[in-house]
Amino acid sequence: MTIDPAIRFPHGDYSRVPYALYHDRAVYDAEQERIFKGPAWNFLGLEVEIPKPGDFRTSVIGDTPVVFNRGTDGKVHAFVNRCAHRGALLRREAYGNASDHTCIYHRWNYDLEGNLVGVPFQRGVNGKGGLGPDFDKRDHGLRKLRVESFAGILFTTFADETEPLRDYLGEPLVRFLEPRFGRPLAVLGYMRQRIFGNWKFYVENIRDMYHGSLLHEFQATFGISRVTYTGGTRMDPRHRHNISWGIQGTEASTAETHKMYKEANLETERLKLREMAMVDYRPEFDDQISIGICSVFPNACFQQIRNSLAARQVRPRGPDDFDLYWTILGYADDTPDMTQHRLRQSNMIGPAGFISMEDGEAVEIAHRGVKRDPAAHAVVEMGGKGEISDRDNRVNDVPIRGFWSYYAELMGMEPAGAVR
Amino acid sequence: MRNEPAIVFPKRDFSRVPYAVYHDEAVYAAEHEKIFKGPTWLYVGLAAEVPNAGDFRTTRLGETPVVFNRGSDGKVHAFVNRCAHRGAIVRREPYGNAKDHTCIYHRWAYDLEGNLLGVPFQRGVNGKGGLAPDFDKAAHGLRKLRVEDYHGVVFATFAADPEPLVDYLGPHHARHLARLFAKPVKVIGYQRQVLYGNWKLYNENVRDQYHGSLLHEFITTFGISRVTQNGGAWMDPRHRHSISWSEEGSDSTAEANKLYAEAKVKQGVVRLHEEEFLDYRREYPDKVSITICSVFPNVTFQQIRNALATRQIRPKRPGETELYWTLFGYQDDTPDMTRHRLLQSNLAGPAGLISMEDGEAVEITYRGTVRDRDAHSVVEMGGGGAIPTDVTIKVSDIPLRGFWSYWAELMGYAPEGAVR
Repeated sequence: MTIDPAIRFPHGDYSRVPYALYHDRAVYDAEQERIFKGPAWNFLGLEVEIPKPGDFRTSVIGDTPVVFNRGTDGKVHAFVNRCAHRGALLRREAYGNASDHTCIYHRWNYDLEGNLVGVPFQRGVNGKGGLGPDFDKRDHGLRKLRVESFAGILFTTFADETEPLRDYLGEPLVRFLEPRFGRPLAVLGYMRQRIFGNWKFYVENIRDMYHGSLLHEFQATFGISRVTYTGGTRMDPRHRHNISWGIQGTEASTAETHKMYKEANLETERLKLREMAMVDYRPEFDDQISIGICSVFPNACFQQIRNSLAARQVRPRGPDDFDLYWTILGYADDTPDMTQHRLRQSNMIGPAGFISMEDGEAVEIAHRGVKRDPAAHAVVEMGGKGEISDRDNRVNDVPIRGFWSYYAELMGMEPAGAVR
Repeated sequence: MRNEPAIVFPKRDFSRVPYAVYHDEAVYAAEHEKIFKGPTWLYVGLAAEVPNAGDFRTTRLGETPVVFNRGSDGKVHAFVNRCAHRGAIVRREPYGNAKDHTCIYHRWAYDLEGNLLGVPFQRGVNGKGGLAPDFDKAAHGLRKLRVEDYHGVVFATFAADPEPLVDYLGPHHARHLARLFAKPVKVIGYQRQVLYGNWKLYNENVRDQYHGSLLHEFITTFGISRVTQNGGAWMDPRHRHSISWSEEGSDSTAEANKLYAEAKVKQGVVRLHEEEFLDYRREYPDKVSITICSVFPNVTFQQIRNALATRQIRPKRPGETELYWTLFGYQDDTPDMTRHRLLQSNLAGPAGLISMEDGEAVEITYRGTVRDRDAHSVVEMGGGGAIPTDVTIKVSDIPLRGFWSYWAELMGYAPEGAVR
C-alpha cells in the first residue's frame, strides 16, 4: 500500500490540505489500516444500547463490520462481524438479543465472547467427511477487539498498543462528556443518512467553528450559535479531538450582532418560526455551555445543541461516500414533557435537520468541487496559522489543523517542521 | 493515483484504436490534465445566454465545475466554480443573475471577475480570531480561465499560453462558425441526456460520416443525408476538428434507393404522417443543408436543416457522459420559424428520431469493448495513411483518425512516425 509521494502537506502547520486526500483510493485504503485499525479509539456505541446479557448491536468501524454485545459476564465484547470460516457477515440484524451468534452460511456458531462453539458435522457423517482431527476450534474464533467505556460511551480499538481511553480523550473532553453522558441515558431514536462525499470533509466540518453561523442561517437567526457569544475551541493535548463551544445570550448587543451578520452578507432576521418553543433552551449543565460539538478522532461526534443530545458515528464506504449514524439521546429520568422537547428539538439535526441538512450539502459540494484538481489545496488559517492551540473565540478553524496533524502522524505523512 | 497502462496505437495512421482508451481509469484521470486542462479551447456556452451584466451560467469542462458570467465590464468571464477557501462549489444553480458569487459554506464572496471581495469576520470579532494581517485577498481569487468569444460562441482554456482561438479553430471552422452565427441568436430550449459510455465514443460518432445513413434509417429515408449527395468533411490543418456536410437534393432519389437496397438498408419502411416538419427552409448563401461541426474536445455544432444546436460533451467518469444540448434560432425568426425549428428538433436530443440511435451506438460499443482492452477498432473507411484536410467523399471516417492523432499527441501516446 503505497501512497503517491506527490500527495503531501506543503506547510508544516497544515494550513493547506491537498485535495487528492479526499479522492485518492490508495489513501482511502491506507486509512483503513493506519487510522481505523491503528492506535485510535473508535466510537462503537453506548452501554445503554445493550443493557442485558445477550443484547447485541452491529456497527461499522472504518468500513469493517463489527458486532458488540453484553456477555454472560456482564461485560461488553466486540468482534469483527465476520465468520472465521468463509468470511460471511455473521450478524445481519441491526440489533437483538441472543445466546450466541450463528452464521447462516454453514451454521458455525460463536459464544458471546466470540469463541467458536459449534461446527455442524465437524466429525462428518457416518465416519466420512467433516474436519480433520487436528482442527482446533480455539484457533478459529471471531477477531476480538479491545473495548473500553467512558461515561457510558463504548470505544473500541484494533491495536494492542493504543493508550488507555481516558488518556486518549484528554482532560477537556473528559470534563465535557462526563456530565452529559455519565448518568443514565435513554435512546430516543436513530437517524441514518448517506452523504456523497469523503468522510474527512465531515470530520473537518464538525471541527470548523467558522462555518457554524455562516452556513447555518437558522443558528444565527435564532441565537443558537453566534460569533459574538462567549465560547471557543478546546482540544486534547494532542489536538486530535475538539470541543467547539458557546454560551447563548452572552453577546453584548443583539442588534449589533445582526448588523455584523448583515455586513457578512447573511440574513439573520428573515426566517420565522411559528412555534418558538421548539428552540427553547432549558439549562441543565453547570458549565453553562448551551452548544457543544465534541469531535473524537477518528469517527465520532457528541453533540449538545441546547437540549438536543446525540452521538454521531461516521462510517466510510469508500473515498466518495459515507454513512452518518445518529443516536438521539435523553436521560432515563426525563419527564415525558422533556422527552417530547428533546425530540422536537432534534428537528434541527439529522439528514433533513434545520441545521445539519446544510452540512451534508457542504460536504457534497466540496467533494465535487475538488475532484479534478488533486494538486490544489484548501486554505485553513482562520484564527491564525502556526501553532495549534485552544482559542477563546468563535471565528476559527484551528481544530481542523489539529485533526490533520494527528492524521498525518498516523498515516506517515508528516511534513518537515510539522506541528502537533 | 494509479499509473496509466501502456497505450499503444499499433499503426501510425491511427487506423487501429486500442479499446483500453475508453475504459481505463488512469487514462481518464490523465485526460483531465492533458486534454481538458491542456492546450485546448473548450466550449463554454453562448454569449446570448448571458446577455446582461451579472447573468451567469454553470457548466462543466471535463469534470471540472465552471461558472461563466457577464461582468460589469460587459465582457464574459469564466472561472473554476470552486471556492478558494475550502473547495466547495460556489454556484449551485444552473443559471441566474447576481452582483457577486457567494459560497454558502463560509460566505466568501467574489466579484464578477472572480476576485475575492469579502471574507466574513476577516479581522475576527472583538479583536479575536479571523485571518492574520498578512492574508492577501488578491492571492485567493477563483481560478480564472482565459476566455474568447468568437461570433457569440464562448470558448475557454486552462492553458497559460494557448494559441489564439481562431488559429485553434482553423480556416474551415472559423468560416463555418461565422456562417452559423452570422446573425444574433436566441436560445429556444435545452435538452440533457446521460450516455453510459466513454466521452470519446461520442466524439468519434460525430466525426463518422460513414454511419450517418446506415445507423439512421430516418436520415436515409427522408433524404436528410445520403452517400449519393454532394458532401464530405472539412478539417483544420491539425485534423483535430471536423465538419461533416451535405447538400440535400443534389442526388437522384431513384439511384440512392437502389444503392441502399444493395446495402440492405430499408428505404420506404418508415413513414411520417406530417412530412412538412422536415422541410428545409434554406437560410444560408450556400446549399449545404446538414453540417455536423465538431471542435476538439467537447463540442459539436449542429445544423440539421433548420434544427440548430450546440452539443456540449461533459464526461462524468470513464463509462458515463452527459450530453448537454442547447437549441437555438435567430433573434429575427418569425414565430412560425421558431415553431418550425422546435418541431424539427425532434430529430435530435435523447429521444430524437435520429440522435437516439447515436446514444445506443455509444453504449453498445462501450459494453462490447469492456473486457478486451488490447483489441482494436478498425478505422480505415475512406483509406488509411496521411490524413487529408478536405475529404470529398461521404463514405469515410477519416476525421476519426484526425481526432486520435491529436488526442495521442496531447496524451503522449503518438507512435513513432505518427501522421498528424
